[in-house]
Amino acid sequence: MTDKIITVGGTGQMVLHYYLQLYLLGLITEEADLVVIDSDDILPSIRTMRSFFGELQYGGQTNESLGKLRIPRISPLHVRPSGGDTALEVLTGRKHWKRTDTHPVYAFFNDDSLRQELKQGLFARPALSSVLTQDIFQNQALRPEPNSTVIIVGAVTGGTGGGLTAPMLDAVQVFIQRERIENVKIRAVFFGEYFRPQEGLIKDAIPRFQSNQTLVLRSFGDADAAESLHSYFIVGGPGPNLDFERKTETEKGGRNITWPNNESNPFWQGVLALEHLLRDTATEKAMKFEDREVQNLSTYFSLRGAELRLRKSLSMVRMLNKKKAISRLCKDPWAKWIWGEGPVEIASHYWSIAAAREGGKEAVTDFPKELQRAFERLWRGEDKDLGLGDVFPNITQAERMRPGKMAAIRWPRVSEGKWARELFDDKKRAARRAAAILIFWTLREAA
Amino acid sequence: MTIHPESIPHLLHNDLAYLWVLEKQPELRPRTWEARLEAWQYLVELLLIGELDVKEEVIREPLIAYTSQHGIDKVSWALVRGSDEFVGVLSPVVLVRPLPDFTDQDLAKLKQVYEVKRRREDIGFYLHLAIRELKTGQPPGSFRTRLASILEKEFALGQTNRPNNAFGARIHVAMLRQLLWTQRVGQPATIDQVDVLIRRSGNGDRVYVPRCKTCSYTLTKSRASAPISVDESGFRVECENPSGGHINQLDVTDFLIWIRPDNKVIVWDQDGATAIPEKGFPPKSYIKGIHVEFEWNEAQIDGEREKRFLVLEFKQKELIQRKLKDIFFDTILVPGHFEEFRGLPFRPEWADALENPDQVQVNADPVASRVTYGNLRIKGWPMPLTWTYSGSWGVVHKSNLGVGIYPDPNMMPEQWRWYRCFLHGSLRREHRIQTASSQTILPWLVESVKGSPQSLSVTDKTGDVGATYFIKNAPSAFADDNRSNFYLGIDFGTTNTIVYFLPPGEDAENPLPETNGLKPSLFGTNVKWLAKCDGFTDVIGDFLPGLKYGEKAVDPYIIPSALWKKQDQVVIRWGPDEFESNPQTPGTFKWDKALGNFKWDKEGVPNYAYRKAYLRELLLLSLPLVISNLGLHSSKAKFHIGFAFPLAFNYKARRNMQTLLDEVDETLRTTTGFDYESYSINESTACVRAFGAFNRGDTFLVADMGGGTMDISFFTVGGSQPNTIHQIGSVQFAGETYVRALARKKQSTAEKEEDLRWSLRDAISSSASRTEYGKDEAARTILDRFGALAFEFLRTLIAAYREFSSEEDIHLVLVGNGWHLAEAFSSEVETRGDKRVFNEHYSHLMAQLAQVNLKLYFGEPVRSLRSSKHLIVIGALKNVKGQKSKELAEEPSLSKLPAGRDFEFVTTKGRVKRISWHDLVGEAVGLTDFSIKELTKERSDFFLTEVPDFHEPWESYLLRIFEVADQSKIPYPDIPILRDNIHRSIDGHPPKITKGPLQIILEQRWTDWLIED
Repeated sequence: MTDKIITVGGTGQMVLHYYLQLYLLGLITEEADLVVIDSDDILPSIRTMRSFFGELQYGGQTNESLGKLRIPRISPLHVRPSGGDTALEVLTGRKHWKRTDTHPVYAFFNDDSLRQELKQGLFARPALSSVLTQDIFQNQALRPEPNSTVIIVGAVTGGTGGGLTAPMLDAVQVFIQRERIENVKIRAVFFGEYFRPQEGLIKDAIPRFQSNQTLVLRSFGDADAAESLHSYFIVGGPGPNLDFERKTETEKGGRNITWPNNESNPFWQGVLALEHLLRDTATEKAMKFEDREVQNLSTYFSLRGAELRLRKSLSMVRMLNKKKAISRLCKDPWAKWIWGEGPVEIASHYWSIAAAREGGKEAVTDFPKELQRAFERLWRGEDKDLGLGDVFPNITQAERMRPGKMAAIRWPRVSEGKWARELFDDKKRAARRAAAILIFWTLREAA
Repeated sequence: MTIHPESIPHLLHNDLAYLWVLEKQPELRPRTWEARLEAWQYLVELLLIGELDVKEEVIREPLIAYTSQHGIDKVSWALVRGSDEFVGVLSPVVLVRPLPDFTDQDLAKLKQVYEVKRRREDIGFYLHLAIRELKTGQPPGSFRTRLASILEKEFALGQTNRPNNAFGARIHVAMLRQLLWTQRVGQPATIDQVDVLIRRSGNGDRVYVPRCKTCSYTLTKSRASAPISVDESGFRVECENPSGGHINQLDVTDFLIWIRPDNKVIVWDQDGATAIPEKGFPPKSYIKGIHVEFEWNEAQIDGEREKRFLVLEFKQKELIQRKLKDIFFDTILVPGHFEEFRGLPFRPEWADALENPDQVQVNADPVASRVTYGNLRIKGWPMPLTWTYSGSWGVVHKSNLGVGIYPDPNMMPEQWRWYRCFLHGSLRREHRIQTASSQTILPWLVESVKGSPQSLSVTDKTGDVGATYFIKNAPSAFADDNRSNFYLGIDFGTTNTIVYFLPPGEDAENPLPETNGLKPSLFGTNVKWLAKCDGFTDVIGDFLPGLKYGEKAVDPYIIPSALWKKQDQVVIRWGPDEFESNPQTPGTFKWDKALGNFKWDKEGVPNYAYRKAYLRELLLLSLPLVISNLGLHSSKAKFHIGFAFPLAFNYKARRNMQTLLDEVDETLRTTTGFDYESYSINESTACVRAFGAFNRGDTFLVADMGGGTMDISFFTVGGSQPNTIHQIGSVQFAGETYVRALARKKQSTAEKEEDLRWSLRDAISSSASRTEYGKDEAARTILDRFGALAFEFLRTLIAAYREFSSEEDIHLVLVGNGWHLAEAFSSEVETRGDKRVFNEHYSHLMAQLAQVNLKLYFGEPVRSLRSSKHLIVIGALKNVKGQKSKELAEEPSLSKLPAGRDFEFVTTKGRVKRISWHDLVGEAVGLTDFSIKELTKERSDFFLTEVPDFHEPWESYLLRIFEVADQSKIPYPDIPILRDNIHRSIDGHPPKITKGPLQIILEQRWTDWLIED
């Protein structure tokens, strides 16, 4: 069973942004597939991590890494409607429609909503997004696995989150009913009014967010699928949280976004709620919808602890880079005694794969250099692409890390599993996947 | 807090927003929603009371791709009824709602509409039904149940009784069943259909719903229920109250059904009704074979969907559906005086549909040209009606059109069955008359022999403009007491007829025209006028003499023995046709022909039917006046009718006449209910009888010259003893002889000759002939010849009498209108008077005869009579009262006239029978020694020069008239012709020569000679 986290809208992405970092740091260990739904682009940090997770693939399954570890799959579902620049154009097929003429669309939507420029988002109109994006409702990425937990994360105040949270719940329920998928627990993390809206971006943002918050949650009261919602946690609301301001431009840049200052940070709360809901297998589903709201979260890690883990893991990776340790894993006969057998064996294994793909050892004599180069590129990025290191916040205080920590890592065994030939076209591909494995396990367990 | 509908993540966000706001307590609802909720309330009310039109619009690509997931493929716009402006849309959540772009201005408009259209008496009922429908089969918490709760809460239902005019239609409203975003495969659609019953205007009148009189449970049935059998008394229906049924007797009238006495069942269509019955109309009915099906609208039976039918079965009946307006004329015809108009608007074939003809209120307003009817009760129609015609399209007034019925039913006993309904006036021939069970004589004259018609209808030629009169029958004034006897005398002449009657208690000694004569101008006093018109008093309705009929004639008691014929119908010809004589008057009608002389059968042309028709007509027209004059009040009266007939009738003619009288008696018996017995006496004897006790011992030669015959009575008054008859007989040489001769002289073709004959007759009866022909040379010449020949015949009679009798005085009595041709064709009447002209004319002839002891007689009873024709009818009347002879039924044995010329029969055995000119021949003179064969098949010789001696100045006068020099040049028929006629006149056992040579010469050769040059 693999759990599933469906994030909806920008808030969902930000929660996922932090959640994935904590996963990479080993603070979160649950296997889960991740579905990112937004009308905006997927955040660069998530895109980077998704790319990184892709490099971890070793076997035939997309989430099959070395040592049969199930790595998260991130499925981005872009929900920007096609067929026009405005809702009116999408729904009527015409750019302009004289208001004096009738069209059935005016029985459903007001003119103001219909004339919204879609390229700038859905302007906090859940109705529009729920209608315009319904083609994703049957996307297979939403299909839950038996005996799993599905958690939907989104802000009910926003256009995308408000519009799609309930439909996602409905869509998952459709899969469950249609395919008779047993023992699926559906849970949710709802974000209410949790931040101070930016001036001028959305007209009358506060009352509109309030309206969205009220009516989206109210829609759960009538939605058939709400019956299947096992439990939920609400972050924020009612009333705007004037202490918290979202920096959407920074979020969209995605580079070295700082971590929360405190535990009450809404995104942090969201991550904690996610972890709680994923781990909670004991709580029975309450009869009444309102009784299913989770009031208290179990905390499996603290913000301070997480920050310490962050500093250590990042410090270790930096140290490996600095010492060109990766290339030395292949060439240094003493490497086993310095870094432990695990990383040496992994490097050697991927070198032999490269040799196999390139036609013999003579063809891959430079593999150590390729491995080191790949390691650096994955971490630091190339050109404008973020490196995995950019996903994490800058740490101003490095931790002193010893190479022996690397030996303590529970490296996966190369004898486990079978490498998928199509993943290893050449020595460079083999080097990148080897580097990804090394970074992944280093971040995860070196601290 | 602001609530934006688009905050709801669903296509139906606007609908859900209304629902959720409405579910909140009023004080907790957003203020910004007040206007929208108010508008929603208006829309719901307007929708339910049928003041919104719903226009469906199919959703097409690309929008359908977004809506079909929700089970929505169309939009149902709501428009204010009759406008094209969308004010809302049907809602799958809240029934109907304003459009998303609703503004305060929209509210103002909607409110304005609502203020005008709202129907407080209806909304409670339809809301109640809608709520019930929404709840039906729904679990608690469903969207439909929640909407029902909102409706209950938001509208103070108050009175929810069914309005009288409940009439609804179901509209299909899509209703949200589940709030989903993705359609489930294999599961019910997210959208349900609910059929909401809303009020429909148009046919929304009060509707009759049969209900149990005991428990008020509706008596309607499901469509599959067995038909309910109906008979004339109505039908029985058992209510289906689950707690126990009750039997109800229902009236078909409540179902707009009229079971006609025939096998037809009329099912009224309520279209066009101007008022609604107290119980309401039943729903529109449908006829299928012998079934009438009623289907109630659900609204009329409180939303019941199944048991809303009744099927009535009429076994062996023909079912006909009619609109009420079908029974009424399109335009009302107002004949006669407008303000007196009492005609009703029913077409004739629907006259029996009126239940209360005596109680209908008719208000005819000539100023407004409007006729209004009130309290019209139509059979099978559950309430009295008011019906109005006005304006030139609705009312046509014809002041020159009268409507009558003859005789007045209120003056006749119940058993009287003969009536004529007719139109009168200059416009009558432009219109039609019709009654039930009547025979059409002319389109504007119909006859019933089945009693007084209950109604008669007058229409124009199209039949769409008309009026129907209902005839009120007053209680009969005739008692069913002892039988009374009444007496009539009739002189049925060839040209004219006179009727006398004998009032009760009077004897028949000295009847006089003033007391005993029946004046035809008074027939019209027995007309019941339903509409009077002015003018045209000559003839009433083409069959009755006008009230001024005969006022200019010498004898106003004269009834023409003439008929008008049209196809196979005849009526008495009272005079020339007014339209033919006045080409300016409209109408294309033309009689086929005028009939006269039907008293006699012509060779090959039997006139029996015309005689019978005439006598029937004559008596049926006369009897009402007779009854009126007699003051008859007994329904058991017996009429004894005495007829006079000419001795010129041969045996066959008499038998025919007797048969005819018997048939007329029977006809009268069946058509009038009285008893009849006919008597007959020959005209000559009648004339003798008329003289009665006058001039005892005197000898009279009465020459009654009528139209067809000159009837001779030569007798001596016996006083207490019977009169002694010397000669008696009849020759066909009379007024018609002259008329025919003059017409033949004047016209070359037979057709023109016929026309002129009628013209002459009319001119004679109206005294116009003296001015038209008084100076006409041909008329004068023929008249001189006519008179001379008649006198030559009389001279022979007198000469024959004198052969055996002394020179006693003989009074020559010239009676009958034939003699009066003398003044009728004299221009001198204007200056000298008719009597003087008559006296001078015949005194001149008497002077030419120069007979000793022969004088013209003008004493009683002739002196007291308007014309000498009255003698015959008086004689006939006396016969009825006295001797009661039925001569027609007896063997002819009366006539005996001189032969006029010698002739002889010589048998092969050498036997000779010579008859001299003075010998009498006729029915009374049998030739016992000879057989008919010997007389007709063997030799006979004629000696035409053997004549009574001529004396001057008569001989010269006669030769001058004949324009010959001596007696031998006097024209005679060829002997074979004469012989043949003698042979044909021989009849009976023993054989009798019924016509002598002179009679044959007079009737044939000399008649022809009248116009010879």
